[in-house]
Amino acid sequence: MLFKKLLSTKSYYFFTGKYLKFLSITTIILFIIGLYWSLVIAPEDYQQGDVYRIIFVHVPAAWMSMAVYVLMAVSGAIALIWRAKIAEIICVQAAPVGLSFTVIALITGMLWGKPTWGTYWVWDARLTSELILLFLYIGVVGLSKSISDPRSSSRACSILSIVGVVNIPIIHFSVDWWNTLHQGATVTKLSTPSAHSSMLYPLLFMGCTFLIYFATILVIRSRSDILKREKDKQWVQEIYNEF
Amino acid sequence: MFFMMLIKQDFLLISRRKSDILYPLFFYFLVLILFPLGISADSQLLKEVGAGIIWIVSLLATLITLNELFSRDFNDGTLEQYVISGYSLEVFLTIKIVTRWLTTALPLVLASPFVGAVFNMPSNAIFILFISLILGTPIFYFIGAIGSSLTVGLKRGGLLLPSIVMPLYIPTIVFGSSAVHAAVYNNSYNGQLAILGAMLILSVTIAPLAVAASIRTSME
Repeated sequence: MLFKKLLSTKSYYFFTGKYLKFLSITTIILFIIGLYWSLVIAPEDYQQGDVYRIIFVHVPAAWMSMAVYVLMAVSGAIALIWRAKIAEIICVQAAPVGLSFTVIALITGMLWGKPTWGTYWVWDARLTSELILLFLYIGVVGLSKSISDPRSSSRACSILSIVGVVNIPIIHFSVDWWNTLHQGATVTKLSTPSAHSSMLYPLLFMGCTFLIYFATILVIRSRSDILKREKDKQWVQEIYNEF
Repeated sequence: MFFMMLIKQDFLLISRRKSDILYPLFFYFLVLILFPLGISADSQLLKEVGAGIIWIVSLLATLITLNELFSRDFNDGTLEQYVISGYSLEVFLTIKIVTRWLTTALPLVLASPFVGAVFNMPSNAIFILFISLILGTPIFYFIGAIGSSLTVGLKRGGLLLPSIVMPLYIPTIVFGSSAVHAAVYNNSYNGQLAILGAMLILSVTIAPLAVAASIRTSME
């Protein structure tokens, strides 16, 4: 029932409208708790000192950057197979958010790399894959911006994100393989010990916070996109008239 | 029979526009000449970086032709006729891609042994360069066709197209150039060639579906 309810744009709009306030407040509270926990309560790292605390932003952003792309491909597939308008909107509207997560992950990673590895950038497999993911996102966002008709724009983005998700494992594998071939011993990464629970729990908590944050932003973005796309419908006119 | 006619027609059309064949070839040679002039003509250095350079320049030479892949047929309405004709759009588009590869990329591949010799490669590496380009350049066209069909009919599609397809080209570049690089230093290159072949099969089977889907989308 719920699933069916979310598929039509009108009921999606009113359904999410009821929970939007709750979502936004939850996000703010979670961020306050999460940031206090990770920046103040969590213990200092004995090797890296306070610098390591950037992982509480870096790692969740990197997780989200990958998860959002998969979400885009899944909703893109739903949009192409069942022609669900909501799935089209989610696919297009998730792309800029995913792009920003990727940028955050890369920038925080570089800032973290300077004091710990001594350099902003190494051609490490993970870093390179993340950089390529950034370009995949830029492709989708660029495509969505340059097609003016909203329906065919989101259809095109769905196709591109599915093609991208088929390619991501191949790209990751090739970069991994390229990295072991060319770099090998030059990158002396600190062998990462399995994180202690006093650091792991705030990290997982921040991961959940980012997830809720993403959901909130996605709901806000998709709602405004619905209003823009359906501006000729009567129920949207009524909303306009209220203001 | 119908598809044989299509192939013939495609070759005829391309043979009437010789600039489409010649300009990518000129581009290929010109950019390749720039590398020794711009970096260094040291023969040892050229041997070291030659594999990567030749692969990247082949990529660029195919990239500049991608924009034209479907745009003519789109603009004069031919593509629309094929969509409504009832024949398989996937097969038609595959024919388009293959004839384009045969006429614009194959000359580059055939020229690659000379280029390899200019870059001081040993003869067995030149052979591997040839084989790897035969396997790899069709991948460029099949994946590039996806980007080309997504941007067909857009005003500034030509600028968008490279940023869509280049990230998808990365695995091909990695394995292609490393196969040649391995051959230059007498290492084993079979694995890389096998993966190139696998990627070729994957792109040939999957890309036409995506291309046809996005062409249909652009018609709506």
